[in-house]
Amino acid sequence: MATVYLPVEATIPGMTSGERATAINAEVWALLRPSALQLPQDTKYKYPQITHPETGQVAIVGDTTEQIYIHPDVDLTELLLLLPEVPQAEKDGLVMFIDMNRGGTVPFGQLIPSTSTQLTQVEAEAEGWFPDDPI
Amino acid sequence: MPDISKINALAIGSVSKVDGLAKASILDIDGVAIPAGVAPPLDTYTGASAAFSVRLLRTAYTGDIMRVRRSSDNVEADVGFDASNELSLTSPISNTSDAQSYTDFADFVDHTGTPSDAFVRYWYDQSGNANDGGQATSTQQPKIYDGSFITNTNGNTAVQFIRTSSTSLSTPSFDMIDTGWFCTTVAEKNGAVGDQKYIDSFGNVNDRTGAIFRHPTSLETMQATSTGGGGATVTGSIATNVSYIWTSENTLSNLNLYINGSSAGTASITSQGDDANGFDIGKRKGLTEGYSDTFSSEIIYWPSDQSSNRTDIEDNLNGHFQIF
Repeated sequence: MATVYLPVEATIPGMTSGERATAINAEVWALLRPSALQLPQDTKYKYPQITHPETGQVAIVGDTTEQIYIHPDVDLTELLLLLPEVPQAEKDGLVMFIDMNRGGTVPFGQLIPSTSTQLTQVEAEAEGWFPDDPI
Repeated sequence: MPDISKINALAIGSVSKVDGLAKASILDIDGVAIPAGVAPPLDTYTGASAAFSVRLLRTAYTGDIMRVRRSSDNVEADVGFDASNELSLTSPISNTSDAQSYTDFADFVDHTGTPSDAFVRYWYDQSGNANDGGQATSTQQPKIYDGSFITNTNGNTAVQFIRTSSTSLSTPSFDMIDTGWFCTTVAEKNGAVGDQKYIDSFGNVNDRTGAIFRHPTSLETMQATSTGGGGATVTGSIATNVSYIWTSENTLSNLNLYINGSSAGTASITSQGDDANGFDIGKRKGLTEGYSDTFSSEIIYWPSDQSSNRTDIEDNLNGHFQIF
């Protein structure tokens, strides 16, 4: 297991960092189980999220080595819309990579865009992501 | 007459009929009454606002025990009560996310083939208030099955909360303090590192009852004040990897902690916390910290003073789970 902290920027107009992180997280889950197959009471998100205690920014806490199942019916439309800063050539490569692995598995680390900040546990702690317990 | 353990060398538990009469129809043997099973506790002790278990807690409850996700393909399903009103391999399966039919839980997880692990999406509230404990994030769902049902050291089926996986379940908001509050649980601490909150309603804003149970090293219960922090704390001694019945009660004047029916201490409450809104199981409420290593078989919470019923309620839990 290799934990990675992925702070999400509020770069999409009308979406906070938290809203965008939650939307991306839901689309990662949809890789395993497309939304068309989900019932209202089903699991919604793949990974935990944490909120920076001072800035309010939200980070997705992923695992770069985890093998992610790619459902044969996966649809990347919504995920790509949530990644406007990613160069088109990289998006095209992601689509090709996913298409090649429908019905198989891929490491989560290979799905992280080059534009995303990636923090280790130590780096996340140094940047103040973990609040103290006041109790 | 001594207890009967065998009849003609056949274990008594294997005897299903005597001269064609079903075992359930035998009321006594030679004048000794056969004890009845333990009744669902909420039939007698009403008014709970949240109730989770691996057994039936209320006869009138018609829902399921929990909703699980199997790890092999992330298909989810509701799991009901077996013929003994418990969670088992013969528990019925319904409302599957793949719209398939399964004979029972064993069929759903392929118990006799290559079993899939199963994780808890919802632990359903049997109180009738729909205060279900839920976890929408797959990697943070507590475990219930990994080739066999998860059990505590005592052998009771249990939901496993795992600190390193940041597992937890969260209830929706509900009224937590009326004439006090009372919470009892069958639980076991199986990790000893750091600040571990098992049932917590502290939060970080004005919605705090306190840490109902936490076990940083020993077992603690804490009533927060309306301005935060610990208004009253009681600490009791527990061992790791030992199953207990823990009970915490707030009588509005005192905070009491009981372990296996014995008092572990009391503290005066001089200032109540705000009327809180639900709790998290397995971590600190509303925050991503205080995750715990805990086996949990049952949790029942009343938003009222149940101190006069405490021993009877604990006897009910112990009668079923045989903890002490």
